[in-house]
Amino acid sequence: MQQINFSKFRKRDPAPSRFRYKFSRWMLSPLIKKAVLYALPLFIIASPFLIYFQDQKNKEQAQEIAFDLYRKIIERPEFMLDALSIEGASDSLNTEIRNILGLNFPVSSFDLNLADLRELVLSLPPVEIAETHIKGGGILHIKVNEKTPALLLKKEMGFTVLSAHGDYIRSVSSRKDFSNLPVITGVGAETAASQATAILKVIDKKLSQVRGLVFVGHRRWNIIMTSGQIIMLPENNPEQAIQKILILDKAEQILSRQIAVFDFRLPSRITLRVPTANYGQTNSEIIGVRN
Amino acid sequence: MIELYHSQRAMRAMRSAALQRGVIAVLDVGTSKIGCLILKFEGAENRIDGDGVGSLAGQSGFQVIGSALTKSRGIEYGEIVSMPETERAIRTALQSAQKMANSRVDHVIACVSGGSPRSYGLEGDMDIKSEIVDDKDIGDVLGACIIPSYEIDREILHAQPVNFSLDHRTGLSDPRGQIGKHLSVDMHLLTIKEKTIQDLAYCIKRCDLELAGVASSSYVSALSSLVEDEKELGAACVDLGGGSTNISIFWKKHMIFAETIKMGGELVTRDISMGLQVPLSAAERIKTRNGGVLATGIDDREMIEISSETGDWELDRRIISRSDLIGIMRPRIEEILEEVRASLDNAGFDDLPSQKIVLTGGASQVPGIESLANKILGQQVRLGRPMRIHRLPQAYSGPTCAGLVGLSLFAAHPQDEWWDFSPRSKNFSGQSVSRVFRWFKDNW
Repeated sequence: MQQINFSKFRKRDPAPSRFRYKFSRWMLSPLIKKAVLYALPLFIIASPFLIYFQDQKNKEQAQEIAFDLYRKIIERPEFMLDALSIEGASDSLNTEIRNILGLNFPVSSFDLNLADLRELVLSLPPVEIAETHIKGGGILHIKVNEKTPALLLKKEMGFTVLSAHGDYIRSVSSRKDFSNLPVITGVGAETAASQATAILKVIDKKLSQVRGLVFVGHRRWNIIMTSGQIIMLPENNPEQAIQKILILDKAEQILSRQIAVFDFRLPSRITLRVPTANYGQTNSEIIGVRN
Repeated sequence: MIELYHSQRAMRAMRSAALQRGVIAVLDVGTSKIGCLILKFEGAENRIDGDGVGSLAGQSGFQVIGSALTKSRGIEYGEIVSMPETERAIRTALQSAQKMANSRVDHVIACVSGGSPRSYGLEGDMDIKSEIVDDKDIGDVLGACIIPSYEIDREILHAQPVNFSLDHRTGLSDPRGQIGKHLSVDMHLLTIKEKTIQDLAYCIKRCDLELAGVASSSYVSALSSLVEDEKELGAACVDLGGGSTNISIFWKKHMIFAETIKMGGELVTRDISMGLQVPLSAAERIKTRNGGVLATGIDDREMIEISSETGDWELDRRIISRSDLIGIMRPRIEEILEEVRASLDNAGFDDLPSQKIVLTGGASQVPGIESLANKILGQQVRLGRPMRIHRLPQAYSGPTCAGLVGLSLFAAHPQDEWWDFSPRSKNFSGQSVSRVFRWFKDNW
């Protein structure tokens, strides 16, 4: 006869064991409850990814796939730029801009930073204002305001084209292209370029045969006439001195007389020098040396 | 004495800490069942009506979020006889209540049903120094009560000021702020056996819980079963429990007497088991399904099948009439009620203006007990059901859970007891301050 094991039928104690009780209380404590509810599922979801990306090879592969996908999206025809249009630039500046940007079209608009391009264009000396934007139809449009050449600064070698305020525009070897610009020279002449512009504005063709202006001693200007005559202007208010010369010239035609140097440095005491025997030599000395 | 004062104060502090956290458990360790409710407190009560009582009798400040009721183990006549068994039962109840509440609970308020409580009426009086009565004066007058000499193995469970008299005015419930010279107090003191309460405290500690208060189960079941008028005019609450019957008398909204009779529903079950020769579980089943105390003609014809599994067909297949069952149950219930009567007589219940008796507890569900109680206890007997508290499950709304509900009310609004007032320190009086002041004056 088969023995029946009665312990099998005995009812289990419904009470939780001490450990079970403590564990359930621990699980119900606020921090653990939150951890189990939020942190644990998050960890379980995240762990396969974390394990997968532990391997450098997998990481690189995934990065490659992501990068390919990114390129695929940004290189869609909708985002591509095919041409560059430049507005308001002379031909030489046009080529300069194209060279400095160095874009190989077609290029994606995602790869371009318009603000950077604008900075790049602005770094060119002849450019005063630049705007960059993308036009429909895949065109990168750059609008440029060029600085107007106003003065030609003669240097030891060649010339420098300056704007009315003395900003550098470009260097040229001969004044062939800019023969209409007035010539200035002297050490530090570019720093006083605005004064030179003001002087030239007052002269304004009323004095014929002005060869150029010389900046002397870092403070004042001389007007050199084609005849070799020199008009020394004062440091302060040279425009008034020119007015005086114009009046004198109108009344007395002094400029057409045989006088080498008109010294207007002290407006209250105008000095005239007659030419000596070595007239031309002295003048050339005076141009650079005397103040 | 001082030690008890401090331990009770510590429990009060624990209770307020628990309320701050918002979750507290109440635990009724009875002879036949262990009940546990987890209460959640939500700040202040919402609304107080014009008569000073809010909705749900001012008990709307909390709600029940977890509840569990489990068979009690290791307890006889309201006292713990097997600590590990009781601990397990408490664990069972607490774990399932916590699971339902989905929150951990660290503080528990428990009630003690056994321990043969004994009531004392104390008096204390003193002269008031400052004319207006303040908290300190109340602490002093409570401290001035002459403590009766009770046995060394007893401990004070409740010490509630019941009545204050100021000069020749009596019946003051709160004399604070009133002007007078001579203040006297009547205090109700309840002592129970130290061992009972220590055993319970130990069991609760073993379950990693902090005891945040203890109450007499006579007191708490009356809290939930008596209505305000009954408490005011005088009433007795008789909680017919499984292992013990708890009696408490209320007058002027204060408990003035409490006692426990070590007889309860389990004795009836035992009688049935012996009388019908069936196992206790079957006897319990027959008692609850077919029990009664009033035999009528129809009961002779209502037959009850008794099934047991001894293997003896003659014994297992018996049929008795319901009047037989009533014949077994009625003498025992009569005996219990007579004990109650004797106890009430001892307490002088007859002198109260109103003699309402409210029956509650599991054994009060026996059909016909009301008319039986009428014969023994007097005409003003009614069956009490505990009042509703917020979100209490339906299964807990019966008279079996009167103690549990009352304990919840006790947890929410405990009555001011002796230890809620701090008496003036004898050592550090105004004199020493003035002495320091004088020292400064002399030396500077």
